Amino acid sequence: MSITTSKKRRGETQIINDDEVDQTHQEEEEEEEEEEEDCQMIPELPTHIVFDILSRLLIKTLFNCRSVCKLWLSLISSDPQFAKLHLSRSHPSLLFKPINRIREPKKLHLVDLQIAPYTHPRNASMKLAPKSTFQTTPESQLTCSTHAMACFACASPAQMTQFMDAIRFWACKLMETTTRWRYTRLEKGYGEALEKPLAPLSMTPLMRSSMVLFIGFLSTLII
Amino acid sequence: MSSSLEKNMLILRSSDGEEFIVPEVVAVMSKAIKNMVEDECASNTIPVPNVDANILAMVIEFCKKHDESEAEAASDLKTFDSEFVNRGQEALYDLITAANFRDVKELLDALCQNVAEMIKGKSVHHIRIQFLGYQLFEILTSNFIWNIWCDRDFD
Repeated sequence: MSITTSKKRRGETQIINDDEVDQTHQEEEEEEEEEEEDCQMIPELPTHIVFDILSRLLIKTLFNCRSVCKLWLSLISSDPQFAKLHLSRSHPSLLFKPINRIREPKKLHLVDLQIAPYTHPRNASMKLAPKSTFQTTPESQLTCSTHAMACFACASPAQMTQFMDAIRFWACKLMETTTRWRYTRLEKGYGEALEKPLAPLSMTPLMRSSMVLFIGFLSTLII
Repeated sequence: MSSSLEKNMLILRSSDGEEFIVPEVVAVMSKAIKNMVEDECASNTIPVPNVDANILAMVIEFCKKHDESEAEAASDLKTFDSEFVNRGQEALYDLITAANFRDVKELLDALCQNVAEMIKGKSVHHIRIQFLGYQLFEILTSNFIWNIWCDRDFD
């Protein structure tokens, strides 16, 4: 075995036999175990506590936290329960879509209304780049815009609803009839978030040149 | 006299044998103790394993304050909470474990909020060092690998 590994180091081509494959697998497993031990060393906390702590973070911090360790990544980006909890705890935000005459821009700007009046615009807003094109028709209406998710409803006969998940850069179109429960849940989260009074927001050049996607109650605060 | 004392007071014994005399109203803020009292499976001395005297004293202090100031302004309670949880990291983790084990919801809420505040605005490496016990050299040596891992596709 030692001969084959030394050959490998010298970069010679060789046929990998079964033993060697086993060994590399073992090594990989050991490495993974070590990583997991590291993850639990200081926190030593049950997963639901980590879950609770992460759900209280702003989305900007959450983006960083995704790459801290595997446990956190799996909690943040693949757990639907987490998205729900985070949505229920997050502040109301606005989503801006810059207007570009030449081509449909993909980027969206998310502005946190809770901290925007008190800090530099740079700290309160963040850019989002959904991977799939995220088209909004003039009739479509943003019914919910919070940290984890944006929900667009369209009044067209098709009754299309679009969701955009900011954490996973994922957007999808859903028929309202099939997702009735989900739609109402989002509306509820949005209503609860708005019960807190909001401070007025000063406009930045970016906001002036972009289309405000929030049509309805919150737009009165901006204009 | 002694019967009335037994009725309203409970004795909590920490893992290292110290005993605390606590009013029942305060003790039942912990759901685990509340269940024990309701099921009447406890005599008036309740052992609290896994929690040492230091931490138990802190938890009792927190519960007492919350019990007393129920009628007081919520903002007072909030400042108390934030001061209470403003401790060293080790004590914080012990407190979280105790609060989780004894099921004290208010304390757990305040503690989680505090840890979230600590995480806020820190870089990935900083979080790893502070919360996951990474050493600086580990970060420097594995930086290259981590960067590849961090930059990969998250779909």
